[in-house]
Amino acid sequence: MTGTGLLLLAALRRDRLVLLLWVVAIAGLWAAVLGGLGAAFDEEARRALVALLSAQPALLLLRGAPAGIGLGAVMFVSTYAFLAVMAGFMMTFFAVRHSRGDEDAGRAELVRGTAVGRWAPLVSTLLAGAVQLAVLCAAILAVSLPLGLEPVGSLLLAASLAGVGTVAMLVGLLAGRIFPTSRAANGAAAIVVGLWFFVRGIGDALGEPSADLTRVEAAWPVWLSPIGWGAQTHPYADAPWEPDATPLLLFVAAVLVLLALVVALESRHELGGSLLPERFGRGTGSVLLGWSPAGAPLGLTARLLRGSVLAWGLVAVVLGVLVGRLAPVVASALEDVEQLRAIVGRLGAESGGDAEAMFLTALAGIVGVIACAAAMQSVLRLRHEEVAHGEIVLATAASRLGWLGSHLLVGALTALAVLAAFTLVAAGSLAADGDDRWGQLAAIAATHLPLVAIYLAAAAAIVAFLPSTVAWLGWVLLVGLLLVGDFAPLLGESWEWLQNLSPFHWVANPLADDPDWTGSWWLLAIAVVLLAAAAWRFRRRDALV
Amino acid sequence: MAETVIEARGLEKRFGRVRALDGVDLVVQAGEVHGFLGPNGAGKSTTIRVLLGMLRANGGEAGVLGMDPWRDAVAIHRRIAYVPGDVTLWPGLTGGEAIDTITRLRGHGAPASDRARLIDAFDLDPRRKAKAYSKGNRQKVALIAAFASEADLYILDEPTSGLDPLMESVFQAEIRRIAERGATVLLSSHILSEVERLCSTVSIIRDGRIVETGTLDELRHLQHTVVAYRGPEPEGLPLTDVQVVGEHVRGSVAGEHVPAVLRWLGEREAQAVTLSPPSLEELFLRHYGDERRVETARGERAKGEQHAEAVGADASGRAGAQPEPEEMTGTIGSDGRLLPEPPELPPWPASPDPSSPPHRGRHER
Repeated sequence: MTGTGLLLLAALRRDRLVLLLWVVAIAGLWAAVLGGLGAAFDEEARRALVALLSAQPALLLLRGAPAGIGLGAVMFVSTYAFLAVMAGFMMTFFAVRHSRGDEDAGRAELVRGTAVGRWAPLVSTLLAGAVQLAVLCAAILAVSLPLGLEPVGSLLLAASLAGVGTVAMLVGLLAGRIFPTSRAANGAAAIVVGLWFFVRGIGDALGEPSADLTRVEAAWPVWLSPIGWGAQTHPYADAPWEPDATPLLLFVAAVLVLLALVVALESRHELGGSLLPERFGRGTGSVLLGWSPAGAPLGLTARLLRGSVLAWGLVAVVLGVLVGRLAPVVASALEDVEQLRAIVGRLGAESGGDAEAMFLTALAGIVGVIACAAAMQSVLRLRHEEVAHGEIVLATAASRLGWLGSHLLVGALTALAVLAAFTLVAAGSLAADGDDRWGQLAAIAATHLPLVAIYLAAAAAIVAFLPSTVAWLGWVLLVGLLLVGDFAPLLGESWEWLQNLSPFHWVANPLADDPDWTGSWWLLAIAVVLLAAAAWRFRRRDALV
Repeated sequence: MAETVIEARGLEKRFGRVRALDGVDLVVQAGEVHGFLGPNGAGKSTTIRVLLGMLRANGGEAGVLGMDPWRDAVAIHRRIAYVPGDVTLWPGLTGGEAIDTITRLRGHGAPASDRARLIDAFDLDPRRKAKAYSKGNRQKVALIAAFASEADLYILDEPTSGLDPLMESVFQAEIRRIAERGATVLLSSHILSEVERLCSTVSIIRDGRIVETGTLDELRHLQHTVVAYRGPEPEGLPLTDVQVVGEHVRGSVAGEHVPAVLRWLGEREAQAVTLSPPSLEELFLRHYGDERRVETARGERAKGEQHAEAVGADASGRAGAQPEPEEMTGTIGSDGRLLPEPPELPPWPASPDPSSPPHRGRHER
C-alpha cells in the first residue's frame, strides 16, 4: 500500500471544491428548512402539516413517513429523503470519478506507473470518501445543535447520512469495475440510488397512519432500501416512539458485503478492464450513422446518446408501472380512514381532483423532472463532444447550428419519449383495471412541456455562454429550483418571492376547472428567447476553448 | 498557374492576456506540400484552428480555398480533410464506424476500394472499439479517414506522432500519392526529417509569428555550410569560425561562397573534404533555441564527421545525433566541380597514394 497517504492527500485536494459544493448544498438545505420551519410553523401548524402528509400517499412517497409533530420530527420527514439522495449521489459520483473516471482519463495509468502499491488507489479512495462523509456529518451537526435539535437525534441523522453515503460509495466503486465507461458507471450507480429513494417511498406510501395522524408506520419495502434504514432510526421521534439506532446495524452488514465484493473485483482487476467487456463491433459505419441533413450530424448524435435515451426511457416505464400499480392501492387505503377522507376531500376541492388524481399529479411531477433532466443532459453533452471531438466534427461539413440543433432535437425527443412512455404505461395499467385516466394523465404530461423547453434552452445557453460551468450549473438550476419550489412554502410567507423564481411553480394545474396557462406561455416565451440567444452565441464563439 | 490555397496575413489571436498568434503570415500555393514547423506552444495548432474556422482571429485576414474560414467554414470543410494533433475518437464507436462517420460528415463517403486499401496498408483492425485503440491506432483512424477522402486540401497537425516507422513510410507514400494527384498539403510537424523528405516549402513559426518561410533550398542558403578538409590553411577564403589542428581545417562558409571554396580546395588538392548543408535541425534551433543550442548542434555534427573520418568509416560522415538531409556524396574533380562518387571509396587515411586522393565531399542538393 505504498503511497496511500500521498494519494489520499491528492484525492482530497482534487475534490475540495466539489466537496464544498455538496456539503453546502446538503447542510444548507437542512439549515434553510430548520430556520424556516422553526420560525414559520408553531406546534398547531406542524400538527396540521403532518396530518396533511399522512393523508397523501404521494407526499409520503416523495417525503417520508412522519414520526411525530416535534420540530425535529417534521424537519426530518420533510427533508431527510432528499438529503440522503444527495449524499448518495455525492458519493457515487465521487467513487466513479476516482475509479473508472481515472482510468478513462489515463490518470490511473500515470499513477500506477509510479511507486504506489496495488491497493493504494482503492484504499486512498475509501479513506478520502470517509473523510468527505465526516466533513458532511460535522456540517450537519454544526447546523443542528446550535439551532436546538436533540443531540442524540442529530447524531442518528448524521450517522444515517454517513451510512447511505458509504453504501453509495461502494456501489459506485462496484459500478466502476463493472462498466467499461465512467458515463455508464455513473448512470448505473445513480439509478441504484434513485431506486433506494423510490423503494423507501413505496414502503412509506403503503404505510399505516396512526389514529391521530401524527405518525405513519411504514410498510416492509422500506427495509429493502438503505435510505429506508436511515429513516427507520426515527431520529427525532415523539413519544411513544423513540430514536432507535438498531437499523444502523443494517448499514454495517451492507458495507461488509459490498466491501468484500469490491475487494474481490479489485484483486482481479487489470488496468482498463471491466466485468462487462467491450465487444468487437461492426467494421463499417452504417449510412444512418453518417446521416447529417443540412449540416446537422443527427445520426452520430443519436448514436452517441442512444444509451442514455434508453436508460431514461426505462426509468419512465418503471415509474409508469409503479404508479399504475400503486395508485388504486393508496386510493382505497385512504377511503378506509375516516379523518383522512375528510382531509382528502378538502384538498380535492382545492385542487380539483380526487385522491388518486392528486397522487398521479405528484408522481407525474417527478417524471416531468426526469424529462427535464434527460433533455438537459442531451444538450449539455454537446460541450463534452465539442472538447473531445470538436476538432474532428467541426472540420467536416457539419455546421455549428446543425450540431447544436441535433443535440436539441435528440434532447427534446428523449423528453417527449419519457413523458409519453410514463403516460402510456401508467394510463394503460390503470385502464386495464377499468380506471380511465388517459385524458387526465395526458393533460398532466402536457403541462410539463414548457418546463422541458425551459431546461432545453437553459442547457443550450450554458453550452453557448458559460461552457466552463457545464458540469454543474445545469444540475444546480434543475435540483436547486426544484427544491426551492418544494421547500419555499415551508419557509413562510415572507419567502414567497423565492418560490416565484422556480419554473416548477408556474406549471399549470390541468385538474382545475379553469386551468391557468399564463405561466406556461411565459415559460415557453422565455425558452424561445434563451434558445435564440444560445444559437447566436454558439455560432459566434470560439470552439474548443 | 499557382493558385493560392491558404493565405493568411497578420493573423492575431489572443486568449485572455495570452497572445497566441502575433501576426502570422502564411501562404500556401496549390499543389504544394508545405511544412509548418514550430516547437510546442508556438501557435501551430491555433493557426490551423483559425484556418478551419474553429477559432475567430482577433486581427488579420485569412483565406482558405478563396473563402473566409469563419464565414464559409462549412463550404471550405467540404473540400478539406483534417487530421488533428490529438485524435480522440468516440469510445463507443469502432474504428471502422469512426472512419465512415467522418468521411460521410465531410459530405462524401469514402470509396470502398480506397478505404479497404488504406485499412490494409495501415494495418488497422476496424472492428475494435475506439476505447481499445492505442494513440497510434487512433491516429491511423484519422489518417485513413483523411486519405480516403478526395480533398483539395489536407491539413495534418503532427500526424505521425505515435506512428511506428513502418507506418510512417506508409504515411509518406500516401502524402506523395495525394501530392501527385495535385492536392495541397499543410503538414505541421516537429519531425524535421519528415518535413525535409516530404515538403517542398516550409514555414517556421515561433511565438506566434512566422520567422522563416520559403523553399528548403532558399532556407538553407541563408545558413552557413560547414566545410572541413585536410590540407593547407585557408588563406584568403571567406571562412568563418576557422579551426586549424595540424592539417585538419574546419570552418563555415556562406551559401553563395560554396562554389568558390570548392574551386579553391580543388586547385590545392585538399583531402577529406566534407561539406555539410545546414540541417533543418539547425534552422529550427536557430529560430527557437538560444544560440548556444545551435552551436551545440553544429559542434556535434562536426564532431561526428571528424569521428567518422578518424575511424575511416563510410563516406557519409553522418552525425548520429540529429536527422540530416539526404546527402549527396561525391568527389571534387580537378576543376572544382562535384563528380559522382567513385564506386569503391578507399577508406581514409588508408590510401597513401597522392595521385588519387580520396576526396570526399558532400553538396547540398
